Amino acid sequence: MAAKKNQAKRYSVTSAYAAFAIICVFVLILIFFFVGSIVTKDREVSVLENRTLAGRPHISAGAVLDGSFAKGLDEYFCDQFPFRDKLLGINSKISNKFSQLSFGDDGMVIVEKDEKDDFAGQSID
Amino acid sequence: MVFSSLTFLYIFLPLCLLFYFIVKDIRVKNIVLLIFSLCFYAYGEPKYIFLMVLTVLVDYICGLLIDKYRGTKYSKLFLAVSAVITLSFLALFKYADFFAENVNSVFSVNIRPLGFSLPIGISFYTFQALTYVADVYRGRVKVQRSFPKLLLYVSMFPQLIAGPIVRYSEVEKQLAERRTSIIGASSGILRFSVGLLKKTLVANYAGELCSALLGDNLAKTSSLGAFAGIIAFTIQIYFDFSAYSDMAIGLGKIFGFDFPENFNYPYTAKSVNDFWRRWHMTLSGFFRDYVYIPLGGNRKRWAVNMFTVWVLTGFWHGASWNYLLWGLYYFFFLMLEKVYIGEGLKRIPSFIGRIYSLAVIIIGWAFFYFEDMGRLRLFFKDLFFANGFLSLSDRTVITNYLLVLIIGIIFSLPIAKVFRNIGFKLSENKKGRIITGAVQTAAVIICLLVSTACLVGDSYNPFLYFRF
Repeated sequence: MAAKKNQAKRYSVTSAYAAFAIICVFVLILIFFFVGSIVTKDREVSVLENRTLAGRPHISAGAVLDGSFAKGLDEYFCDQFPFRDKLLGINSKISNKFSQLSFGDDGMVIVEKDEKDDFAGQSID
Repeated sequence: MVFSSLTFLYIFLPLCLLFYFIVKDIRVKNIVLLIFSLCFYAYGEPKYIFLMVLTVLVDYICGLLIDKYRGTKYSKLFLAVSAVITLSFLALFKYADFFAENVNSVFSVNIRPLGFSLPIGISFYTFQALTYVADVYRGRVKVQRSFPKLLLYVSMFPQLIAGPIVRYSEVEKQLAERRTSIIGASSGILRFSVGLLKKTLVANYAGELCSALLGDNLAKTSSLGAFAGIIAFTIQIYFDFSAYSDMAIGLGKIFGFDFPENFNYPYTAKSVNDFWRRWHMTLSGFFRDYVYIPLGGNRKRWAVNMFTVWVLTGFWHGASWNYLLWGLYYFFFLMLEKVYIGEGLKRIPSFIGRIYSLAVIIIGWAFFYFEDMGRLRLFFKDLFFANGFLSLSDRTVITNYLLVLIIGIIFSLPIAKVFRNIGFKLSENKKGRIITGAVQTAAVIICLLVSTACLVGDSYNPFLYFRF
């Protein structure tokens, strides 16, 4: 019973002011990105990533039924997301903290320069 | 659709909340929630929505018939009909090809596989629908005369595709009458946001670490590398799955539903038995109340009943032999505790019990992780120094991901409880309430923005439990 009580207390907001503030920021963040994605203009290429960005997916009964429209919409929405470059910046900072190495497309481990000499005991100069 | 996608967060959710809260009447709210739930399910894979609706329709009709013929032998007949049909959908779409493959290889015959892809969430919603008919039969709940309400119960998008397995009896009243309070909604938002961060940050990076060590390089992984890899998976699966439950329960709260808890710090268990009271609680509860006890429970052939439950639990997680092995592995330890060491575990200092349980759990995840038996063997060879204690490449990988390991371990412990208790202490006076409130509000902002950045950064990452 004690465990259950503790469970129920998990994540509980106790003051009405805090509750109001939380609802406000949540709604504002949702509206901000929802409206932002509608009003910002689509970009064709990303200079930062050096690639073409996904465009608006074509909607048709066939595309909806086989799931390709959903996939297209996900890609389009992600590529044209408001403040994409800023968010990518935050993401790469997080990624640097959590994983200092990255993997190339061929599965090769890419190590930072100052670690290269002790990589698996091999010289990779 | 998945919770951890930008499309869900910033298109689906705002629209759903807008329409849900704009209408006043509960019946209209239910219709809004139902339509959005069906869209949620159909998004990306529309064909299987008919299977789900058909399942609910079968159980709806059988529920009515069970109620109509209550007290006669037909009542039991309709319960059986509903169980057979509902479970045969699961068998057909989840297990048929596995069965065919094994029959083919054992008897050298050539049954053609059906080639169905697994309908999302079928293992979860099948069980939910079954709790309804079983409880109508047992007279625990009233029969539901409205088909849309029953469909809403099964298809409600927060808990539709990866649990918690909500029983009909738990939401029966809320389907007809519920209210969203400001406190409830904000607690739900807080929980949803924390869950989102758990998934996008901890689970995803732990997953990267795990596949770096136990993926393609398994043949070269060193002992400590294999150990770190399975620890990473231990963290990943907990943070992934409990994050999904957090988000589901949080969203439920926003809509005024109280869904059952699914996790209670499972890695602090003092015995294997204790672990299963803390891990995926709604699944073990389902097997206890709808399989183990009806079979006779502790009174009749309990060992056979327990064996049945753990074979089913194993296969529930996937149509592959490794999941059966995983289930039987737990059956072994649960029997061991029940017959021999259970009493002893209660007497010895609890930290010994905790170490024993963690060792069992972590090794257990290896059976769960490797679907291929050859790779499982390779993993155990790695673990026992086939490639030395620690290679330089493994050391590099582990040090680079050290932060996620530390965070994962810390937040698997009830350390969050300490912070929470500080919060509650503070909440006793006004100044403290302002501080807690500010921290909670900041937490929501940080969780949402960081998760959004992570989601923009990597395009698509479905939940682990979608495979089941």
